Order: sequence, then C-alpha cells, then structure tokens
Amino acid sequence: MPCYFAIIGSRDNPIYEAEFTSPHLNSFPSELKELNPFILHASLDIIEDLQWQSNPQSGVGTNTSGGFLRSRHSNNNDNCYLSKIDHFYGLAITGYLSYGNMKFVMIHSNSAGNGGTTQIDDPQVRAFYQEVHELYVKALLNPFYKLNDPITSPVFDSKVRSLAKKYLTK
Amino acid sequence: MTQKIISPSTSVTQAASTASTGYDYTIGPQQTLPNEQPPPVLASRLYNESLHAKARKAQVSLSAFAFLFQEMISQTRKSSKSVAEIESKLRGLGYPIGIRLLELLNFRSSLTPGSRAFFNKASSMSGSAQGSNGVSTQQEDSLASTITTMKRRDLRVLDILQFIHGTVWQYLFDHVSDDLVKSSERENEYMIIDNLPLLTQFIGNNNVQCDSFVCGIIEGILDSACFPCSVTAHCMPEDKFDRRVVYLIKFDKDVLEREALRF
Amino acid sequence: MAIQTVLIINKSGGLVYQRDFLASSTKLSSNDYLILAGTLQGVTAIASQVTPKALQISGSNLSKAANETEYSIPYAGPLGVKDQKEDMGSFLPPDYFTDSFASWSKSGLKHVTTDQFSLFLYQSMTGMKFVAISTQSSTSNMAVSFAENFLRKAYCLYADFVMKNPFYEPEMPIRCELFDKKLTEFVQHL
Repeated sequence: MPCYFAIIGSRDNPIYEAEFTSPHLNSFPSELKELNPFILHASLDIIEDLQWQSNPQSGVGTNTSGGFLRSRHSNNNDNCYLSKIDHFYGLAITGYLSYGNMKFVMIHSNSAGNGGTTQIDDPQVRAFYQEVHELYVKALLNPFYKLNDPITSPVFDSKVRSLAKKYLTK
Repeated sequence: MTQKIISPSTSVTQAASTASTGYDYTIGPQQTLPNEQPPPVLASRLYNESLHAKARKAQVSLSAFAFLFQEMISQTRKSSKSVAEIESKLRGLGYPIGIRLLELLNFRSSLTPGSRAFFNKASSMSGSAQGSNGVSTQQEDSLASTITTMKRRDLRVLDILQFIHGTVWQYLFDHVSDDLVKSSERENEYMIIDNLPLLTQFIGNNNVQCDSFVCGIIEGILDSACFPCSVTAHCMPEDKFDRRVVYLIKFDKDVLEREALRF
Repeated sequence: MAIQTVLIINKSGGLVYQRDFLASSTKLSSNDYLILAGTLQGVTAIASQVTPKALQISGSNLSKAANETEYSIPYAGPLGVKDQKEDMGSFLPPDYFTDSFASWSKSGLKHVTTDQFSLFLYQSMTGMKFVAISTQSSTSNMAVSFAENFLRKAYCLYADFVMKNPFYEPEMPIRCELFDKKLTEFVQHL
C-alpha cells in the first residue's frame, strides 16, 4: 500500500517527506497526491493533544478531542508510538513522537484504492518508526545539522526508503 | 580506445542528484518507482556507525577537554563586549548539545541489556561495512530493531528534571548531580546542585560565570522537550565545597499551566 | 625545612609569581624580587654555558642506563598531598606522580646554599623556572631531591590551575585565586 511519510519539526515545519509505493501495486491517485501534505498537517492538532497524554495509546481521556479515534488494542505504555491517530476518507494516519518532540507522521492508503478502511499493522509500523527514529538521532548528531533544518542527506533518504521497503510496502 | 575519465567532482554531483531535498514544496515528495533500481550505496560513517554507548570510547581526557573549554571561553571573550554577552554565547554553545543529548540518551536508555550481544555482532561487521557491502549490513546494523519498548517520553516537570539530574549528569560528568530541589518561594523554580563542577574546576574567576555552558545544555534539553525555561548558574559555596554551583531553572508560566491541566 | 617563598620566573626572565609563606622579618620589596628573578635567569644561563660539554652530552642521553641513576630524581613520597580522593584536578589520585623522574635542568643552576637559606630551582621543558627558598641551609642530596619533588608538584598545580584558566594570559603575572589557594594548601601540608 502506498504511504506518504513526513517528519514535522518542533515549529510544525516539515523537514523531510517521502512517498513509498509498493513495487507491484498502485501509488496515490494524482489528484489525491497533492492533498497528502494537507491531510497530514490536519492531523497535527491531534498529535499535539496526544503529546501530553500520559497514555496516548490506551484510549484514556476520551473527553479530549483525539480520544474517540484511539485504537484500543494497545497494552504497553510506550508513549512514543501513537498508533493510528486520524483518518481521512479511508486513509489512515499514524504518528510517532521523538524525545525532542519531532513528529513522524504517515498516511497509509489501502492497496485496493477503493476508499475502504485501511488496516494498520501496528508492530510493523512501530518498527519502521523506531528505525527512522534511530536514523533521525544519527542525523541530529551531525554537528552541521541544525534542529528543524530539512534533512537533505541522500544516505538518510536511501536508508528510510529501504526501511519502508522492509516494513511497509510488501 | 575509449578511456573512462574518473573525475571525483562529477561523481559527487551524480551522487547528489539522487539526494532528497528533505522538504521542498516546489518539488514534492520523491516517490520510489516500482521498477526503480535500488539507490546507489553511499558510504557514510555517520549513518553506519552504531549509536550504542559501547560503540565508541566512553572516556575523554580531562586535560584535553579543559584546554578545549579554555579556548572556547577565550574565543567568546575575544568576540564579546560584555560579561553578559560572554555568558549568553557560552549558553549558545551548550544549547545544541542539549538538544542532541535529549534524543541520544533517551534512545540509548530504551535499549535493553540483551542488545549487548547484538552489538558485538554489529561491531564485527562494521569493518566490512565499507563500500558495496553497506546495504546488506545496514539492516542488521540498527539498534532500533532490538528495542521492544521505547523509553517513555518525559511529560512532567519532575520526570524530565530527574532525567537531567540522573542520566544526563551521569553521562556528562560521571556522577549524578548532588541535589535536585524545588524552590520554596516560587512554584516555577527548581534547582540542580553540583558540589564539584567538573568543567570549571580550573577556573577561579567569579566575574564571568563559565558554568553558563552547562546552563545552555540544560536549557537545550528542556526546550526541545517542550519545557521552555531559563537557566542561570550561581556560585554558592557551602562549607566543604567552595566551588558549589546551583543551576536555577525557571520554567515559563505555560509549563505549569499545562501541568495543572493535564496531570 | 620550611618553605619561605615560591617564585615563578617565565622563560624571558620576568617574575610572574611570588608568594611568601612565612611572615619573615626580612621582606624584600617587589622591585628586589624582580631583580632576583632577573639575576637567577642570568646566572642560570651562564651556568648552563659553563657546564662542561661532556656532562651536557652524557646528560642528554638519559635513556642510557649508566646515567639514569645520576640524573633521575627519586620520588619523595606523597608530600603536600592530603589523603583526599577528590580535588586532584586532572591528576589521578593518590599523587601527582608516583615515579622517579628525570630532571630537566641538567645544565644550569639547581641549588644555592648560604648559612641563612637555601634556594632550589626547577626548570620546566619550556623554560619556566620554579624557585623555592627555604629557611635552612641544606646541602644534602636528600634535600635537593625533596625540593625538586616539591617544585615539580608546584609545576603540576601550575599546569592545572594557571594554564587551564581561560583568563590567564601566557607569560603574564599570575593572578589566579585557585592557584594561590592550592599552593598555600600544598605548602601547609608539607
């Protein structure tokens, strides 16, 4: 299934984006492709809310705006991976927060492309995010990289894409 | 007979043409095309090295660091006009370190002790990771795949201060800080106390507060964890410890408001 | 033996540090100290010139075992160091150094004795001279090696608390509180 992935900096500025498409199947329809950044940014409010919940995955605190969207399967108390945070006409949006509150966000579309609901394979997506997080820490350790600058390293890019191949687009 | 001219400059630009732009709205995201060849492997020490604490030498010579620190202060002193300017420049030097420490140390503490065995394997492979072998090792090289649960992000003021008091101090100065106190007078003030400051132990000048560097580190950590604050260092000798330093952390109002709302 | 005064003379013969540790009756004026520093510098230079060439050459091959005993100064025990674990600066406890060491002032002035006092001189590789004046006249080899140990530790303190202080300009008079404090402590624990 095609995915659109972006890292959003602490000032809500995008610093990296990529689109992953499966080798044998479709990509985003071109008219939807343009909308991806907007859909993704629309979910930032929800992330910001979840950011300060002690158990963002548990579905506690349903009185807050993001609460009703929580997927309730989670049983661990990891508050970096936020699981599915939002949806938009069959597209699912997952999020992840790094310790420096960088937002890793991704739009998943189902492979059929017919607008049906998209299933999120949580362990796989989580593993992907953790790997990207590690790459991000490495990028940040570069003394020439400043916080909230776009990550332009081709190595970072190719590593993220091979991770996507490994975990997401099968 | 045609000869291939190897010119290093063009090979670099070719590599750069496959580069991502990070984010550029005029271009949009680059997508991986179905029939695309896997991208050329780029050797990069930064991305191929392990983040594991044992992957590099954990100790730094104190003398070497003292000379570096001395030179940092001399440089800022030469380029500044007032004491306040020196201190704010030192703070600025510490700030990016804090940002990096927050991510790195938290990531490292997510690792379980069991990943040690994994590390040994990775280090034996890192020798062959150069050149064309890079991609094949890269997938085993990541520490993230060994992490079952990431360490929780610190959401409360006390949690993040504990992190600084314990983990960060241990990493930077090889001992936990001597005390972590809440101010009795003001709600938003906390103090971290160090009886024997490591960095400034050779500097006996009270006019310029050289511990501002550490203030910058603390500020960087707290700021990027979304606890905006201002940190100041004060020299407060107490009987046996004549260089005792108190780092006063003043959180912004909205940190306390958020805490009151959320927890 | 009590240390009366410690002087530090820079490589061009200027007095950069002077400190009295005893409230002695004979106080020299600061001008006299400057003259003393200059004189010592000159005498050292002359002395190194009049050192027999044979001695200088044999002294330069310190690695040879035959000369080693002659020129190495034995370690005189943890003098001046309190039994505290911390506060050793960049040196590892228990002491600043624990081995015998080769003297760097192979040629030149090392030791002056009168009836009233003795003067010991330790020269660093860079030409800094550390001078200690003691209240006794002592001629024994013991006293000389003891003094050399003492001055070498003073040099260690100098390396830590003067050279690592960003507010100190090289070759200028030393005004470092911490160095003062450490040296006083050190002399008091002798």
